[in-house]
Amino acid sequence: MTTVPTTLDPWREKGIPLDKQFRSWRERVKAPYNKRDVDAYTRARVILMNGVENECWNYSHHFARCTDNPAIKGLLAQTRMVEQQQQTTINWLNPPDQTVLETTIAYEQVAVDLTAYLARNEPDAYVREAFNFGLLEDFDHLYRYSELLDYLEGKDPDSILQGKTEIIPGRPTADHHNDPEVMLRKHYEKNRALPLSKLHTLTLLSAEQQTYLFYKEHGFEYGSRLARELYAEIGEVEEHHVSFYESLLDPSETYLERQVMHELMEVYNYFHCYAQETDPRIKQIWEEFLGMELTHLHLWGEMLKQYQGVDPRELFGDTMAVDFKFTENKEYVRRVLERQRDLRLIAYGWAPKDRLPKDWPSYRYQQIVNAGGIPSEEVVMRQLQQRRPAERPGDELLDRARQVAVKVDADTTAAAVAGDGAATPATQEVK
Amino acid sequence: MQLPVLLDKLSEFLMVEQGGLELYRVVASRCTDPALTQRYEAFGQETAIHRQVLVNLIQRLGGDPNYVSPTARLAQVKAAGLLQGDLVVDGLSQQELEANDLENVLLAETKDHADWHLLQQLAQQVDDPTVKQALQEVVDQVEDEEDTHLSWARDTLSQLALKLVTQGPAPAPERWQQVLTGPVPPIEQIHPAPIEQGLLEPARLSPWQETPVVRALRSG
Ligand SMILES: [Fe+2]
Ligand SMILES: [Fe+2]
Ligand SMILES: [Fe+2]
Ligand SMILES: [Fe+2]
Ligand SMILES: [Fe+2]
Ligand SMILES: [Fe+2]
Repeated sequence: MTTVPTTLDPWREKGIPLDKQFRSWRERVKAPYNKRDVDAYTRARVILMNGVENECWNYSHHFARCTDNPAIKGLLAQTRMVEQQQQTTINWLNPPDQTVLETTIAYEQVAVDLTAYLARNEPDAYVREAFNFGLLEDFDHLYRYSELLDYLEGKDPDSILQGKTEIIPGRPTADHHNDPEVMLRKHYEKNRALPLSKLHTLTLLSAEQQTYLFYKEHGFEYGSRLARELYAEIGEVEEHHVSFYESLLDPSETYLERQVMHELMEVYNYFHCYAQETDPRIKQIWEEFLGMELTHLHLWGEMLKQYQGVDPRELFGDTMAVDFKFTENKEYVRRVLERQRDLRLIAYGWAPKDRLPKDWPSYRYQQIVNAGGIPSEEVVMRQLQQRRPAERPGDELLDRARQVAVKVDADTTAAAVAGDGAATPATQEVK
Repeated sequence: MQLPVLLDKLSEFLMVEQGGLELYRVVASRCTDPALTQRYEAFGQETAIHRQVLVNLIQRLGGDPNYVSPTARLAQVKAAGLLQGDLVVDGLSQQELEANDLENVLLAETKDHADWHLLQQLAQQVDDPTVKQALQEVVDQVEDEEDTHLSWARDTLSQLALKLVTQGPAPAPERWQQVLTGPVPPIEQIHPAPIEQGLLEPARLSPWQETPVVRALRSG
């Protein structure tokens, strides 16, 4: 791969003029990737950037509903139309023969490797621990959906994951169901937080929101009761994740400030997509869209200066280092799993599950939602009962995961939270 | 005299009284000092009368009290902005919250006072005798009360602030210099098993930068 600089001055870099950004239907809709030979991380970039564009579209609408300034409304309408066209191009890269469940596996792969890398890169320890917490949940979703893929479609999840992301039970999905208020975190302080922390948070928020939308928009497409219920269950966890990550944003950021942040987030993400992409055809798309976003950024930066007297460089810095890449994070995920699998959320903090207060609000919530059966457990139990001999290449992966799942289940009292160094997490057995 | 301009202004002033009424309603409901609460309620009642006085004046001058001028809409947004503050910013002590409510009363009454001062000047300068008469009557009825609203808010707020600075209470040690400069204590205090290994270069950066003001001053 050619070396690409990882630092840019986003305020000076030349972009594509706004009046050259609209595309015809023909130009907009490109041929999809081939699900059999696409690189897993190319697919991951497609999924991520679709989520980013949807967030930018969505935010632009919120902003538009709250402003009556013709110049701002006008620019919102213009840039939003571009975001929307970009979204079509990107989402339409997904091929029609990729089933909802296969795409779902890919979504959770994005969640795992995006969250893990962002956590590893995140300077603010509180934000990082929020990421680590969400990481183990999406990691577990990946396992539950993998079982569903095997059960419903008889497919090997690794045909999607390509060995880059592991399938091991994480924090059990049955335990992700928190009282809605318990999810809320403290926010960063906008004056002192690094721009990087803001970009990380907004990026992850976009991805989680996209995952939520995808599950809620497709979960009903399966006839199987179990599949419908599992999508309902995990779809709700994604709603938790959206609430969780958005609570990290400083609420005193103004609309215009946030608009600039969104454009900067797009520049950041298109930049690493462009730098990392291995498919030359898709790389061209990232390059083109990066050029569009640079212009959005400049135009909105001007608006911030004009209407709020704020120089966007002072707010977000002169240069931007783009470190992110989709890459394997297996070792890191295992470490987090070892130390944090048995952590739970308490108001604005974390606690080991055996030290939760008796009146922990999530107990009550779990009693309500888990009454009558837990789909994420049922899918595992059903698979265990089948006891099919390993026949296909991916079978031993799921077999291994099931052994861990059984172990975790039998081991509910084991304090896997490290700190005393005596953790005996199930993951140590997986080698 | 430009009657449409005057009627636009009166629509705005009417909205200011409406905003004041809403403000008094909120601050009276959450004030823990009985003396202040009593004032808020009394001023709220006077504000309701001012509202009626302006409605009558608008009608008397041939205007429509249902008309909402562009500057009235602006006044409405600004009034809501005062109450928006503590929906957006958390971390204030009860004393700070109540001082903030009083400060909002001061800001609102500053505008209210300026409105009535303007009406008083207009009453003196306008040559149309019916308009002059109408203005003079309302000013005579209201202006003294506006003087009281403003001076009371200003004096009480400074007394309150002086008392807070000299006698406290001071914010809790875990809040001081933390809510505003770094929202949380060290991670070990709130997280039983933070992750230290496997992190990459950027995670080693200081999570805090200097504020935009300090950075701007530094760069000249
Ligand atoms: Fe975009
Ligand atoms: Fe998930
Ligand atoms: Fe998630
Ligand atoms: Fe954009
Ligand atoms: Fe008044
Ligand atoms: Fe008043």
